[in-house]
Amino acid sequence: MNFNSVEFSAFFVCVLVLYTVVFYRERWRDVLLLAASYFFYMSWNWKYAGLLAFSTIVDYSVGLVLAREQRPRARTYILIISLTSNLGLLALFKYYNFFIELSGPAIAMFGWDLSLLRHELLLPVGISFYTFQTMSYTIDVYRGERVLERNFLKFAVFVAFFPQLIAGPIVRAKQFLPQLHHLPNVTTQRFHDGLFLVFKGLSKKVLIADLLATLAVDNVFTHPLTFSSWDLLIGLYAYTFQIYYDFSGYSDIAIGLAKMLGYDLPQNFNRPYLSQNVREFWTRWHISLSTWLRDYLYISLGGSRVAPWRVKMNLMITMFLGGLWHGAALHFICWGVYHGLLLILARQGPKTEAVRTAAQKVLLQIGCFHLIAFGWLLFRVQDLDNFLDFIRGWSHLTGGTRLSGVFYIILSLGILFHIFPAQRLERFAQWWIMRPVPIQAATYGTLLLIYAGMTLEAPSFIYFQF
Amino acid sequence: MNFSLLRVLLWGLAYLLLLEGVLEIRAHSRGFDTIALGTFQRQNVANTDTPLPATTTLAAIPSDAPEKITGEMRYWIASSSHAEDSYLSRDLIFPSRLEALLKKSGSPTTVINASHAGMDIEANRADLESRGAREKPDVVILYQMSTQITKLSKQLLSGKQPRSSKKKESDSPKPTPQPSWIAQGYEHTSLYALLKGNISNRLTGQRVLADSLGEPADRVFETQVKEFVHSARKVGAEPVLCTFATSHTKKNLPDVPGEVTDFLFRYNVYLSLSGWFETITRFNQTLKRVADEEHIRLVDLDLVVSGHPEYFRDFVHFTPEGHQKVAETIYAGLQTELPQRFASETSNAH
Repeated sequence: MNFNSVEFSAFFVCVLVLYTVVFYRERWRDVLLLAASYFFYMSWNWKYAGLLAFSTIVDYSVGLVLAREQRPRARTYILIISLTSNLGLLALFKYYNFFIELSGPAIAMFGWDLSLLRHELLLPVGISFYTFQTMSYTIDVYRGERVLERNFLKFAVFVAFFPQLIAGPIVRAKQFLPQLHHLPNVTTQRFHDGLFLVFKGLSKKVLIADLLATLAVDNVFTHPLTFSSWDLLIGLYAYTFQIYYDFSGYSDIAIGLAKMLGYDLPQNFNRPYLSQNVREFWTRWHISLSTWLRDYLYISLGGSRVAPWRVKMNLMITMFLGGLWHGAALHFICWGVYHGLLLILARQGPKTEAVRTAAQKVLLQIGCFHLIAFGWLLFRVQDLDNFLDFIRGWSHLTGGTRLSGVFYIILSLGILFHIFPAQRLERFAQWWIMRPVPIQAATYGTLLLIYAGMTLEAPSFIYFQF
Repeated sequence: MNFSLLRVLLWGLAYLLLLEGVLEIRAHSRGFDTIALGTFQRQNVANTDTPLPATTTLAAIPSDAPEKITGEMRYWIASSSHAEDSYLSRDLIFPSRLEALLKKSGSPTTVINASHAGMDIEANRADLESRGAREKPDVVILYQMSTQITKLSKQLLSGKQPRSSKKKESDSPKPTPQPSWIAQGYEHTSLYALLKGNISNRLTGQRVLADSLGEPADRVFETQVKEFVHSARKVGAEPVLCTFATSHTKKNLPDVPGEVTDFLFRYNVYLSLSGWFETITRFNQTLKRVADEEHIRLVDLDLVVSGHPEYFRDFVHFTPEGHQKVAETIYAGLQTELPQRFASETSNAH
């Protein structure tokens, strides 16, 4: 049940109606949110709801035990139980086959065939997100932060809250659990604000990301040698914007849906391609993951308060694991290592604050954009052959284009929307939500129809697979 | 929070329902089936200038033919909307025309039209295997391709996203997941039909479309045709293959009118027009090769009917004249001598 599907629209309207009925009854409200979240999750694959429940029960119990236990060594062992069970799930479902494939040739020298040990289990959707979310809870409790939740129902809602369950933003316990203990903040303005955000996200997804994918990106990346060097370059730019609009569109919808229900989720993107260096990029891109990696991995490794060589190593380990988090494939690892190297280099380079002129700023932005875009090539290719085909295609230095005019218009729209001043958009949103309800409704209805017509296939969100 | 907050959703829903209502009236008056106004009464629309909508839903399986009498010859037509054509009266479509021609000889003959819109070769085969033993056809005629091409396009050409782990590639395409009942319901609305017809196919024309389905598609098609042939033999019938005919051919590619490409892009968002011609040519060659290898009759409809827009109301569906021509061509093909090897196999089976 994708956010951009008819099924989800029907589901959410039903949830909203029931939610309005039980709104002032706290326990029923929580029960409804939990039931809706599990229904939503089970619409992907009902069998894996057990994993979600398992993760919830383990971390809820670990939290309670940690709160009672005072002995440092015992607390560490208890934390390890949580980490092992969460990372164990990830290892089994996401990385097991990958490591079997990687180690297969070496093990084969001893006469063992590891390929027989491969499993055919599907990757449970959203597992990387909810395991990180629950792990952050137990680590916070372990660190003594006041986030302990004794109400199991509320904790289960925190883990499974459907707007952000599948692809984030990864919510921290201290951001979300307190909201569950108060009457959700639903006002007319916030409700309409949320609806506007949902449509903003839907527009990003359907109007830009999906069209870029179907009109060019999928073909360019599948058969790179049949395109000119120019088309390959434009195809890479297009993917750079596709992945941004796909994921930030999803995040906007998630934040908007939560807002309509009265909850606040953290911002996940802040116009990342306007960054002047890679460090800044990581404060603007997938903010909930980058801050998670910073707080629970980079800082745990010692962060930047250690010897310079250790700082570099910490950065590299963090980004290596960040790459691996995205998927069990070498190209994701390469992407992570590439960003690790860029971050290490960025530490040596000039500080953004030193730049004074607008021209210098723009040059840095363009340079940084191209470094990031090259990283997306590593991220998007299927395998090494695909990557080499792409590079070979570039090396031919051929011109001409097979891409249509409509594609170029959509790409330009994507670029313009990205650099459009955020304050103006915010002002427009505030103006828009004050328009008469029938006008808003008719506009949203029309947009829904146009977007339905634009959907050539039913592509899922890219980040659903992570 | 109270229900007044949901006004915007209710207004939106009312707006969409109003639009759907207006479009249903418009669609019904133009001959489409609609949800609220029901089934359009089929009429004899022999000479219409506007292309008729193609039925996209599976019609009900026809009732079984009466008990076979001694000396009766039974012909089984396995196809899809080409042979069902619910927008023409039954006596105008080629299975009925063929029956009329066959009956001229005076011997008892029945043509069972086992064709339904949306069926592909696998569905034809399943239908034949389930009803064939009871219906006892003597000759099974297969006329299929465009549905197959659309399904294979979806399976083989849909965009690929990065994979989290490398999986073993298989030649056989994955089955397409069935849409939910909500999605199916939505796809039956007039709004959906309008949007698909006016936005989707125009955008499809802006894609970098594939000019070929590639070799895996050839292999899948060949396997499916061979399996169908074997199923026909299993029920003791003589299989007959027909090459596929289209309103235009590669030769008159520049003359293909916009509504023909619109029609194709409405159902297939992956394959270019030249890709269609390329695939049809290759699949027709496959049919000829299979017929040759299996020593069975081949009716070359492509040779006789293709490239005559007057026989078609769109790229693949026939006008009454087209149906008549198809029936005559199949009839002529059935009069040719039965290939030797099959003749002995059939006599053994009987």
